[in-house]
Amino acid sequence: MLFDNPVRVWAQSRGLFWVLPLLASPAAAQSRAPEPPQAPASAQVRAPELRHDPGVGYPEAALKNGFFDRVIVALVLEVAKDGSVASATIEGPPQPLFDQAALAAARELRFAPALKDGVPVVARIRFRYVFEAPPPVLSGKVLEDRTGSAVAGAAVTVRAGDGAEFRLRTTDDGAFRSEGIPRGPVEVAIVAGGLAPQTVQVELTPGSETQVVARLAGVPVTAAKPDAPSPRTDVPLEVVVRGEKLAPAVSSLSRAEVRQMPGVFGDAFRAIEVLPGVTPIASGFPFFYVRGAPPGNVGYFLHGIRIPYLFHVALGPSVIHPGLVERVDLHAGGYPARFGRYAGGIVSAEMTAPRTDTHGEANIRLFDAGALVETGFADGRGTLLLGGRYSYTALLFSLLVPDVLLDYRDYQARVTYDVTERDRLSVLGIGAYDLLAQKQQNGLNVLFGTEFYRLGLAHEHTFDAGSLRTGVTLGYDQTNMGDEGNAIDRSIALRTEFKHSLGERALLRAGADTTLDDYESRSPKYVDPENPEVVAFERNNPGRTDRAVGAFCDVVLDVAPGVEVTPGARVDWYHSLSADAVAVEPRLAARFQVSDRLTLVHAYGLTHQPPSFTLNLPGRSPAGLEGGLQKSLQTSAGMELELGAGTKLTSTLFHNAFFDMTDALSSEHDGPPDARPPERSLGSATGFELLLNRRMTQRLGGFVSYTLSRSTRSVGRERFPSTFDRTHVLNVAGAYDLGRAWRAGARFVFYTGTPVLPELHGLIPPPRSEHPDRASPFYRLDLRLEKRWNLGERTWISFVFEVMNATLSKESFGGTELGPITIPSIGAEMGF
Amino acid sequence: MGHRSHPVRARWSVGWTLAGVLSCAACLPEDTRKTPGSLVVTLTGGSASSDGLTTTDGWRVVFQRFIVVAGEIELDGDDCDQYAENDYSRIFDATSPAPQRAGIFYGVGRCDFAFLVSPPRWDTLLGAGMSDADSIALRTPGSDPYAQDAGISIFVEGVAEKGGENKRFQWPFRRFIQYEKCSVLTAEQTPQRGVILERDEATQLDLAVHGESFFETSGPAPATAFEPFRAADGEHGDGDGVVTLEELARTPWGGPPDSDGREWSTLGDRVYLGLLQRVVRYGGGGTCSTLSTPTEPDDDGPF
Repeated sequence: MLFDNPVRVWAQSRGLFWVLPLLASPAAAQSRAPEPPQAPASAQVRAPELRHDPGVGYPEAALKNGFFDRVIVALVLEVAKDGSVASATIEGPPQPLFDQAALAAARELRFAPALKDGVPVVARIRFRYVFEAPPPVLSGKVLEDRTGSAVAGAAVTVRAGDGAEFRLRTTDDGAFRSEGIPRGPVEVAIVAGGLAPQTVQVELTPGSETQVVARLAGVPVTAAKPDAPSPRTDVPLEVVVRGEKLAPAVSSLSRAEVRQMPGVFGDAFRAIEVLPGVTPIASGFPFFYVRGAPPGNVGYFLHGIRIPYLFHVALGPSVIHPGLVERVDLHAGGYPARFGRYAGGIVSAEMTAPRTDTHGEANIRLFDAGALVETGFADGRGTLLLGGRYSYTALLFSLLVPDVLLDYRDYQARVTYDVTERDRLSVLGIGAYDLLAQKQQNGLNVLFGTEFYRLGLAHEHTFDAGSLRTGVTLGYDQTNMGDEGNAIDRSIALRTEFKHSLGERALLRAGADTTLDDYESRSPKYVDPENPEVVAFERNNPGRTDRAVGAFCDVVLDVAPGVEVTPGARVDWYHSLSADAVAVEPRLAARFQVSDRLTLVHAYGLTHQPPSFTLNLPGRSPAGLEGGLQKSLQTSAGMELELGAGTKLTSTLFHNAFFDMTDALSSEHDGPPDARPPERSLGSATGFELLLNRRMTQRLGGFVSYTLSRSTRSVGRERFPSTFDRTHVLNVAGAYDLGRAWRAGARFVFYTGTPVLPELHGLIPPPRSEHPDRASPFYRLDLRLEKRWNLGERTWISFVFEVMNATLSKESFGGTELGPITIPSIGAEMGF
Repeated sequence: MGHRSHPVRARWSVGWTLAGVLSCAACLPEDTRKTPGSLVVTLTGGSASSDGLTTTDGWRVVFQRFIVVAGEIELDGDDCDQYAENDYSRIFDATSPAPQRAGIFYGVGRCDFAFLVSPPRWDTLLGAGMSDADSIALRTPGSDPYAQDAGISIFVEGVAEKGGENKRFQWPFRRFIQYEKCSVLTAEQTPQRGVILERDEATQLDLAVHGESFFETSGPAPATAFEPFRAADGEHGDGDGVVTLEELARTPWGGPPDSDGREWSTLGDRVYLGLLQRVVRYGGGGTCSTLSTPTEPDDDGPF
């Protein structure tokens, strides 16, 4: 906080007397020293003198919004006879966030009152606050790579974007720190005698501390020969920006990482498939098992809003523009209590924070084009974001297959408005649309179509020790299954979440939510009413209103240094048709930091879910609760080991037990899934996960992700592997900065085959084998190449070539081969 | 300040604009196709199937059970707009002389007509008089000289009697028979392929089950005979009074070639691989191209 003393004073008597006439502009006033009051010559007047100023900080909400500008707020204060501030009013254009902060701070000011002829009198004075964003903090440590010992006296040179240099020296413990460097991108160069120098680019943000840990490799003692390799310079720097603390046992992908990941087309949701614990159904098919739980048991959330599916039809991109997604978390099991109503994993995407500066991005590819733009309004109190994607596959298909129409699009809109410094209203609208249709002479014959829309209104209030978020979301979902019928869901969801810090060592999180889903089923006009698919569709999707009410609570406890325990629970009540069910779900997660490098992580939880279909589709959900809720007991224990050089090793053992699953995809073997009430099954999934990761955003980044698992189901006396059980799943990826803004990457995917199912042709199925034959393993190679041009301080454009399954590999399912499914993508992206 | 919009008003206007955009966005197309014509397809047990027949050689043959699994009817063609697919089949009791509904179809134009006789699937419907036990029996895999681990698409069981001699027969046929490019002769004796569906007009088409087809001879004149079957159990079989498919498969066929020129080495071959395709016939005395296979013609694979 910087505070300007009152520089000119005027006072107006309220039946008392004039102290000073109205002044000139505040800018002019700033440079002037306080002027003595002017008053009738007969009066001896002294202006109020500041005695106590507790100060005011730069509003946090502004920092969160990416607003860092210098702001001046001019006030008119009425100073009472006792020196307190009787009233304060804003003078000048409204700047809501800053006005609120200034008004609150002004009330704490104390003055020596104005005097007239030695007697205290009420006075009005002009006062102003100047808000400067707090400087970014750059800190770090320099270590010798081999021994890990601190390097004292290393020269740390920070070069700002405007060419200014800041020179620092590490202390005896190898640390350095500076708060005097301006915000923006900087280059940090570290040099120490006898060690290979290192350089890294980081972005310094006001209000944030960016930590750089450098491990410098030693230079050979002997003199280097002319043709000898130069000292190793690729020992990486580890950059950590303090941010939100993730839940234990969560796997998280930032968009920056995802952008560099080959084969996912910059799509954070698609990148989930590379994480350990995730088993693909088929190559390129964006549905997956998570620790043995099928796609229908995996919940998808965007900023706490439930969405029915993530991807457009066929092999399309995700239904949310990637630019809106800051981070995607995979909660494979034992997740926080705020997540519920799914018996499998949770995929939760967090949106980017609203920004008041105008920015945007756009991309155009072979099959679609998308754009996203955001700007502020109302002097920084509000933000408006608009985004969307449109596929021109319809046009392409009309050229290739004239009678087929394949179309998809999505859009996003967000408005935020800070009513006060502590209160934010936000409106979020998202929608996605997919259509596969046949053009007939008599009109359009819809073969398959889906759409969903969400309109959410939320209010978030922050207080000193926490926050309260309350929201309502309206939803409209529809799936058109062509000849079978339409299923529609109109929903409303209310949700409130409360976070409160209980001192420095405990954080309470609690909340409640309720959802109401009004389902409607529409039969097509021109179908055979006896067609079993039509009959099944009507049976599975009867019109009804389902309800669910839940409450949750957990506490993040720092019980001891390095020991964090999060006990929690949630309770849900479900109603469908005439049935009710109640679920009580205890949860427990813990992190034990054994050393600077090693942390042990545990997560346990019980989850429930009403009956579900094989895949989540908009508007479709099984009716009734006959057979009870699906249940899953999720357990995992693992470790996180910092290996240095920016590399981290995570390994986890997990075991999930499933009860009363309606998992037709995994256990049904007489007819296609979801066509009739499924057999309830027991199940289990046991496995080992390993992730060796070095951030893809580094010059040389990559990861090895491996899952060894076995997922089984039991129906009656039969026990058999899940239909898409794969024993080994391996992803190996790397990305390298080739220089001159070229970046190349590759990803190798390998997994073993699924159990071979007998070809029944309608026959009564034989008993299922516990150890069936397996289909052939599958592998593929994905490639990515990007060239980027920076056109200005913030504007860039890049060319991206990417191909999934460059090896043209075919996938085998028993005796049937699928593919090759190869997706090439050539496109351009730009941002500003 | 007069030119500045009120913050609350501005907020609401943005919100309503957004809500308006959303409300307009629900846009999966409705079915706006013009009213089609309809086609009701039925299956009828012919007189031989329901009442029995007296063969040319004097045997009285009565079918006690005559089950046909038929369906998966398809309308197709360049000039045909089929409005919905009916990818299902039904188990029919062909001893019933009344027409039984096989399905209703909607479309417009001149449509090729195709259907399938095949073992039932898990979702095959039960026709009148059929039970789940029948379905399970038909879906239970079995083998015979012409099929291995297959279900049953046509099942006949009956008795033949002549002069006090009785022969029983029980034949489960495990075969997929695809009927395509069906056509009938018009009054002008010109073949009309498929069906013509006019808007707002209802059309009916009947598939007939001709039990006498099993006993048709291959001579120049249309005739039926049971003597070869009696011989299959007698001279070539175990003489237990029951004529089985295995006995038919062992019985040499010495008759002239069929009218289509095909020659057979055994009676079983002729019945199983030849005559079986003539049991179910396109309505109005029409004909179809047929393809008889031991396995399903097209396998969709795991998806």
